[in-house]
Amino acid sequence: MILVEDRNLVLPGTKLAEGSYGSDVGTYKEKDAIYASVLGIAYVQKNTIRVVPLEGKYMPKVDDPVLGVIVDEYPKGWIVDLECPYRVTLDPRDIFEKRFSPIRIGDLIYGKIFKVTETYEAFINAKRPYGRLEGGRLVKIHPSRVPRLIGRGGSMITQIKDQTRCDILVGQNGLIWLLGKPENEEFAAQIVQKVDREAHTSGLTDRVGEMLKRKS
Amino acid sequence: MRLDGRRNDEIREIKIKAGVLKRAVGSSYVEWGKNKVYAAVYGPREVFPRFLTKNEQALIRCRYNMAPFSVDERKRPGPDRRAVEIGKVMQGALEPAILAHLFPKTMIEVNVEVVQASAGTRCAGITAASVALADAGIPMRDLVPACAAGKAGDQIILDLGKEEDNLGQADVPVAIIPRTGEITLLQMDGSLSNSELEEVIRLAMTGCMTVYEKQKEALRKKYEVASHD
Repeated sequence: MILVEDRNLVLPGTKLAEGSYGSDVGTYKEKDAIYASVLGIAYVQKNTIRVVPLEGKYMPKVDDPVLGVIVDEYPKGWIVDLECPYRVTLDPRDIFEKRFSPIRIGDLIYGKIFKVTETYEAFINAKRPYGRLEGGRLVKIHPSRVPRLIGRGGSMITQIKDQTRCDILVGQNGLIWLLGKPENEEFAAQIVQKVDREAHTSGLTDRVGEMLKRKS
Repeated sequence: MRLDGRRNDEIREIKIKAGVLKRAVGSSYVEWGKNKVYAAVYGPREVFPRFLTKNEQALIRCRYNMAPFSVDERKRPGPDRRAVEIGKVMQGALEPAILAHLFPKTMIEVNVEVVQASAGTRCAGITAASVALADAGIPMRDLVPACAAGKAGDQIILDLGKEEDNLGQADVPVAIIPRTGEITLLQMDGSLSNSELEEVIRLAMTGCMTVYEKQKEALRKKYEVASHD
């Protein structure tokens, strides 16, 4: 028996269901019942319940595109900061480095995670179409709200790109890169932050559409 | 009738706010009677110092500190033996609720800062820490409320105030996992008979359930406000 409605806000310890259901992300099972383990929104499907956390750090996953800053250098490669609890390595073989502009600590990299070990150490590849990014502006949002920023089939992010006339790269780890004229970058940053704040509410797509129309 | 006019089973006024510190991953602020306490959570992140890394789960590190201006006579800055003890019991109170095996080889740091103290700071601290952990998105089995009960003036009372704690006969702070009733913190300062102790623990647990409702309300409030735009 399911005890919560779809899209309810739940807290750690909230009882979600009794009986045999699948316990997905954000939940745990104890003695024939499923409980929420995080503060988040519960999504009820036929036989599984999951809770999408409203907060929390990014956990590296294979095939995720991410953005990060180089923070350390080793003979084996560089360490990239994805704002996650685990170490992320960039091997020199996985990026194209121009002879007279080498990769340095502080550089911003756009890459794709291609390997995650059992202990959550991750490795990224930054060859074309990924690579080092120059200029532009970096915005941080909650990793759990990235799907909302992208929208169904990319609808939300495409709308923002078009109306703000900015290049936008979205990392699954919550780092967003914007490139355009300074006023446009600033405006795009505001939109992105609005989506971050209100991701769990309804009617957001309309409100964002209005905000974009008003400015342009 | 108690010094501040409360009934024997009445808890002091509590206000809890979640998400108050911008730089922390999770945070909370608790006003409990005259106590004012902040909690900040950092992590999961890399373990410092490295040798403390646990391979199978996250390391939970709790730090309790009283600001020099939090008490009547200036308290010298830095942890004293009492603060170290409280840090350790806080960890014992919170760890059973945290699903630490989901983040092997990392560290979750909980910092509790008391800016105004008036008896019951460790209970306020654990209560605040629990809300801050939820605010940080750390997976937990449940929130952990804490509350003290004891004996003063030969009366069994709930939530001792400053004078009751200093001049009373016993003070018993308790923390629980509300869903299962498991006790994760139990200490006693003073002396009680066996039956008195049972009564005090039961009273403290009802206090915990009241605190639990306040914790949940604070977390829900954080997201209710945002949805009206």
